[in-house]
Amino acid sequence: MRPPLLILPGLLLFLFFNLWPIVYSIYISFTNANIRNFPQLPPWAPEELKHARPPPDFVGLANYASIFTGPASAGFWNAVFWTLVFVAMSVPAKVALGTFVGLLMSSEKVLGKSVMKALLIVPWALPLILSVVAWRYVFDPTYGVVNQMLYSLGVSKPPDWFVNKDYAYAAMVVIEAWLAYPFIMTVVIGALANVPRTAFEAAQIDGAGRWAVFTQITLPLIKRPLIYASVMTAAASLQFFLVAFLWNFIQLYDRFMLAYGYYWAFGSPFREYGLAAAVLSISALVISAFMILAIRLTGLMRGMYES
Amino acid sequence: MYMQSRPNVQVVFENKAPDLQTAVLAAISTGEKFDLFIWAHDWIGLMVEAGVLKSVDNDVADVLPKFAASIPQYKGRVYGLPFTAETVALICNKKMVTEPPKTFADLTKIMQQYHKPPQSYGIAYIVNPYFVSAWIHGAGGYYFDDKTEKQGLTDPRSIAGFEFFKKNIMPYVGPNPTDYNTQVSLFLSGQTPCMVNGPWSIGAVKKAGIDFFVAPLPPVDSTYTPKPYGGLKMFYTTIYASKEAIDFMKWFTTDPQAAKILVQKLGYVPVIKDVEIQDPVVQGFYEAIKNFYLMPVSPKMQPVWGAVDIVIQNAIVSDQKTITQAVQDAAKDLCARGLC
Amino acid sequence: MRASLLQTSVAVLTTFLLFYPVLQIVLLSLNKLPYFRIGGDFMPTPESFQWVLQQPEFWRGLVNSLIAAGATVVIVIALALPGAYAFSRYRFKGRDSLLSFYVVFTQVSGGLGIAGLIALFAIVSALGLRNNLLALALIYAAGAIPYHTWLLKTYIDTIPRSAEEAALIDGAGAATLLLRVVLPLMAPALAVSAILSFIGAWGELILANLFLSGENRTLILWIYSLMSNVYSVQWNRFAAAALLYAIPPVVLYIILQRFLRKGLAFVY
Repeated sequence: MRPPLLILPGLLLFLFFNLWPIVYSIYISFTNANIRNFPQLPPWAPEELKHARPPPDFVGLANYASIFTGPASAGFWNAVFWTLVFVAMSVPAKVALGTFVGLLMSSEKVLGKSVMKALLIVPWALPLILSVVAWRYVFDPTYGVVNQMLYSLGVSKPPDWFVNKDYAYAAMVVIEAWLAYPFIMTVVIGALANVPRTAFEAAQIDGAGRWAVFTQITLPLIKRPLIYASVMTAAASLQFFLVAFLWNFIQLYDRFMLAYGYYWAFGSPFREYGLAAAVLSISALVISAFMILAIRLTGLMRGMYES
Repeated sequence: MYMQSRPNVQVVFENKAPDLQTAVLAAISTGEKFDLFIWAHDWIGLMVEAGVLKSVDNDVADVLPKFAASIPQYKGRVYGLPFTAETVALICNKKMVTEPPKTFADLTKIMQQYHKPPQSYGIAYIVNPYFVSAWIHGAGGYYFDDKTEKQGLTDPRSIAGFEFFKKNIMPYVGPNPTDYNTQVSLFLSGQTPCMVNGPWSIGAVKKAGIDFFVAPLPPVDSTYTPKPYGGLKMFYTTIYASKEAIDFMKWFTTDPQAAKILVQKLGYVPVIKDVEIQDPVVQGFYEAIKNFYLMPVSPKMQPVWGAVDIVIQNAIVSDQKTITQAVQDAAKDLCARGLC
Repeated sequence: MRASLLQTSVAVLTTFLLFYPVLQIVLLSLNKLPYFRIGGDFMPTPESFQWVLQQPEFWRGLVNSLIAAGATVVIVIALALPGAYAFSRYRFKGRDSLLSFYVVFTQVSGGLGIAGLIALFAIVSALGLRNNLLALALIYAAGAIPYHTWLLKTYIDTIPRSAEEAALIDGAGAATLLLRVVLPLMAPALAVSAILSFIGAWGELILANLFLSGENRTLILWIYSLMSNVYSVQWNRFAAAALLYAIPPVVLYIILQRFLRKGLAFVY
């Protein structure tokens, strides 16, 4: 049995459709590709048209230089900073919320869990646009439930969660936590379901209090799955873009790495694809570095190479 | 109708919502051969630079005299023909407003009369760069000069236009001013006497059963007439456009029968000469179009939209910055992209 | 089983709070007016749902989405399973690095960017596979290979080799080994892979919009077009359509939870 043969079909398919576009993107990031020279006309197009449209020039590291030191640089580093802040804020929120709900849904003392679990899983399954629409209503400055409640609590001028930059950013954290908690919840429920009851029973016989049971038995047993889920969900936070785009791009574009890249590409007169590709390449590097670091630190790869 | 007269030609329409632009751009490199696409004229610059369009000056020269409006051009050449003009106007509920306000002062009276939040508001106005442009242009300012390709946000007249809007219209606008659907809903549910919108919204107004009239935005005084941005909806001829397609386009845009259907069934304001307009709604937009300010065609306009949006959100809809401050920050950003 | 009132109440309250945004959408879909009430009354009616179910585009989109998602599942499993088996049972040169590559890649593959998109478009067009649901499924499957190979591999790690060794001694060939011996033992993991890849394909918007036209467009595209109407969006219809569209993923996720409980410790 030739093991490489078993892997080959999958690997080839993956490389064919995924690697080439990414390699091509990286190549583009070293050119001055914009709407005037990219994409090229097909080979059989008339010559005069092709002459009027020369292919992109190779510019080496120019795009990267302009991101790090050029007019786009202040904005880029600002975006990276705020993206990291976003990760720092949203990941604990997601994990805490998901764990809390996961624990509740694993407790034997709660009735009607099946119905509740079905309802709780919904944010994960909804198409993103629908979720954004739903939250638009919740955060509506005048009729949304959030501001209505604030108003009744005595806040005379509740914030505008769309137009005000910082409040929009806060809304992003909330929405991301809502979108991601079902994943964490599922992981926690699954992990707890595999915890042998004997451990709990033994602890109870020993007279352990609830908090002790939680910290000494429950937590350690779900630690690994929780770490795995946290790493995965942190990567998602790093790549956060679509919701901000749908919410209020103009206020939020400079707070998220990917959004910033998109903005420079499509907010430029000639759609600087080269520059956008450079931003995306850097972001991909940042995310890869993060993934590798996180996996190393949390020892997730332990057992990876065993069989 | 066209297909009946030319049996060997087939016209196929494809709806590429939601992103026509990407679809068009992606198609050139792979030779997906489509002849024409429809959009407002402001994409001309971008599309020409992208190598998508073919100039048709010679092919359409014979029908040019039939047009009452100027044909959109980029760098002196023609890349398609328009079939309707659109801009925003004042659309008012006859139950609340009996006749079109002749001056801005009249409009202010109406707005004040009905501004009783939260039951009703002075006006439904979508506060974004396109809709607000009328007041900047009217004051003599501009977002962007198509000829010099430079931004005009820091021009004191533009600032004056922004200030005017903030002081005299913003206080009467309904909640969620930046949200199109909210503002339209306010008008449709009778919570505002008027809304500022374009011909595309008339369908919804009629469906809501509102008896309404359309009138141009009223002038402030003899020197200050609002000039909203307007667009010419047109056919763009791609590099693959066949002779048959170009003939179809010429027919569609200039045939009097076709024009009549456009006017009657779709409420389009015609752009060719000698078309009878009986519908008062169309007439109202027609009057509004007399004051319109053609949207720029240069691709350099692209970043300006976003920049003005930021100004509006930071300085008019909210108070995160003063207008002068916001405008200066926006100009700085645009200068970094070469628009100064 | 002493049910606790306190815990149950907390659970109910939490569920309500977290479900509330969706509840608003449900109410919206049942509302007679096309826009969300600006202080208006709520008039419940199933009209929007009826309207959606009467649209041929809805059914066409549904069938197309089912085809695309279903094909994705088949392709993913057909290609990832053998690879996963190889990674699990064998040691060979480059195994560790390839596996690491797969793992890191499960997260980074997201941002293809416009250049990558155009490159992909060029490849697909050159092959004449544009506007082809099965081709789209191939593309979806391609992107999912690393994650699912890794997922299935970690599950296979937990299966004792005894059955395979016995089959090998009996002289079983590769195909028999995989199909007759390993496959039946993999049911839970395969279910997880199937569900996740189905849901991924079901909701994909960007590539589907770029590649599909007319009759082939998937359901998500039709729903998005309901919202992109420049004239005036019928929010109640959009909400109804989107809710109907969300039913398969929700159901699948619920089933998924069941499988994750059945001792799928391999994920961790």
